[in-house]
Amino acid sequence: MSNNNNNNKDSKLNALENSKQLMSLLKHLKVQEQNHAFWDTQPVPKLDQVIEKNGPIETKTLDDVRKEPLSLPPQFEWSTIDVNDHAQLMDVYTLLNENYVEDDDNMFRFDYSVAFLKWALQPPGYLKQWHIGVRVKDNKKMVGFISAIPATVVVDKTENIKMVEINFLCVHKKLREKRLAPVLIKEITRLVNLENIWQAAYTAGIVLPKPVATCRYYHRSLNPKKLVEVGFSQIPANITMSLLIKLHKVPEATKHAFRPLEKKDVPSATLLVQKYLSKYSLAPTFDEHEIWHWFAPLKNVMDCQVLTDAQGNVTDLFSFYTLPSSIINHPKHKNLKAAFSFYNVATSIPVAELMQDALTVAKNNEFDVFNCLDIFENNQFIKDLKFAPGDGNLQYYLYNYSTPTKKSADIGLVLL
Amino acid sequence: MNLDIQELDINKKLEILNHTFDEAVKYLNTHKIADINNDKQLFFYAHYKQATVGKCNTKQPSLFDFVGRSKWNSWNDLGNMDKEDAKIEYMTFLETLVPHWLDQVTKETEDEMNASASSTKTEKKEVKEKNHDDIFESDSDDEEAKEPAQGKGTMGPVMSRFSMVDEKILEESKNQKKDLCYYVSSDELDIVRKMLTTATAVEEESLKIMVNERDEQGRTPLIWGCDRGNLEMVQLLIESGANINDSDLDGLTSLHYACMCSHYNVIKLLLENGARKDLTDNEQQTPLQMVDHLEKEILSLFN
Repeated sequence: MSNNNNNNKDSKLNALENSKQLMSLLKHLKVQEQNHAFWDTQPVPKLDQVIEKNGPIETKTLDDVRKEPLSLPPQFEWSTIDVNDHAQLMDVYTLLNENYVEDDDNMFRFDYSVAFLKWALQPPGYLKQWHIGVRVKDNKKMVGFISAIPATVVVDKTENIKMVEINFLCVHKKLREKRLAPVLIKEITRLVNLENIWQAAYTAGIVLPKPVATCRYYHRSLNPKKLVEVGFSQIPANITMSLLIKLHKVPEATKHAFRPLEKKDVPSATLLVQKYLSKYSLAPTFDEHEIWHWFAPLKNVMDCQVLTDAQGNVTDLFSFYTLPSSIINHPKHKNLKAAFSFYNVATSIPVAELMQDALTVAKNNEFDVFNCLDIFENNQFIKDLKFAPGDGNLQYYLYNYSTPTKKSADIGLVLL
Repeated sequence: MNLDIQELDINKKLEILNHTFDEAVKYLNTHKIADINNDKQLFFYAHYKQATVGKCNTKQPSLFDFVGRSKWNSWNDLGNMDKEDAKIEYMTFLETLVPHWLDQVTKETEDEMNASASSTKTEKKEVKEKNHDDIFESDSDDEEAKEPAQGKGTMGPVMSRFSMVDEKILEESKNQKKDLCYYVSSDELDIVRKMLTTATAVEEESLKIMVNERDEQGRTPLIWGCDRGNLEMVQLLIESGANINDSDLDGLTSLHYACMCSHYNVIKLLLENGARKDLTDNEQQTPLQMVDHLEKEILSLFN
């Protein structure tokens, strides 16, 4: 925000000083601070804090951890979810499908598939007790969920931290005002602490205390006509649809001889990905089991293709996950099929050619749009491959760990 | 808490303003307001859009879409009003309709916090009565729209869309000549019908001229209709005497456009009305060559 702009707004607000409205605003500050009270009690850096050194914010021992679950309002109960039990997994799926994240205008809502959830919640070393739901006592309806999965994350290239990734926090729409989310967060924290793990990584669209990095979403149209029809993008009156379509055409075949990742590729793929990730200031480490879990091609969940050299070692790799959205109240289209860029490594070809081929593969699998963040070296291809900025920012956070703020291009971690 | 507004820095003030605005939006979404009418609803809609998106930047909906059109108009009427002003107006208006809304929100929030924080028996009962009986019935779509959505307000991923198209392009499109091509490209079927009827009233000849009037790229109204894929529009233009096989400066015909945009029904209609499959554009491409290789149904129309 420019200074000039600031002054202008400042005087505008000051002019309101005597109005009833502003008095209300001030009164309301108290409530607002109560709202922020939750994060103020958590071991996270303050928003205005300048951080110069890496390290945990608080150090606790197992003796400090509460042994019994947090209390819920009386009509609800905790429920550990066994995602290998189809009925329980369906409860999670349904809760998310009806209540999870929407866009600003409530036109689209993420529709993580059943197979996706099974995959995302069970990486090597996952713990069943870290998939927790809240149910209504009377009818067992699931009204809340949160999960943690284990991960090793390297911060500033030196600090290897065993932590968890927190994801799929969801509270039923009817209960949004009940402040269940803080209870879910505290309960998952307790369960993670009980395993002697004290740090977590998570993301959010809003600014909480305090982002490690603020990143931007970029979108590449693969099916511009449908995107316009459903309101995911727009077309001005003097631009033809055919021009839009022509601009977003992708080659029908890949330029390079990519093929799906196979089990035999795992050792060399692991080395390749590990070496690549070591360049970033916030990035996971993957062992061979984790590489195979996260990158093994899985229909409608994960696409991963590779190039190999003469010795059969993987030299280049692209990967993206499938995350459709329900289109809310549209007469013609029910679903938007989006590909989300995962981890990509180019060593024998330019990264733009790697991603161009990824776009071709996505287009041929009937994806409508390909999304990525401005993390990694993605800025090198975003413009040339006709990605356009989205209206969503994504901030990265660490729980109980302070580290200097990072640029988006220093981030090497993808949360699903 | 004693606070002097003058002592707050600008960011803090904006933070308060934004937060209170969010509360106002939430209040309206969750409470019924006595004697709210269309005009009041439009006021809230327009100021909400202005406050969250800014200057109106979408295409005017078609004449048939009455609701969409009045919403669009009310938003568009706010012109360049800036976001903070729109928020202040929104809250001020709510204040005039419901003088103590903010106190009410404050009280409700405190109640809820007490209810979830403590576990005394009396409160237990209250909460139970409040959410249990009416909450878990199946939702009608209508009801769903009023519930607070899990947007960007919490932990987790973000649903991002394309941010609005370039302001410059939108500005240009606003200044463009409001002729038949323009209204066809904006899907304004009603206006187009009226223009054509008026032309017919003058004389048959002027209709023939008008329906084939070209824009600066040599595109005819029919080409625009085929680009947009509006079947009713294409039908209307053909009935009004549009030349099926006219091409633009690039040598592209209506059939080329419909093929590029994969509009199955429009292609079918064009073929039934004598559109030629053999005409090539300046790069020697036939319409068939422009069909996306994944569009099997359309390809079959050319067999």
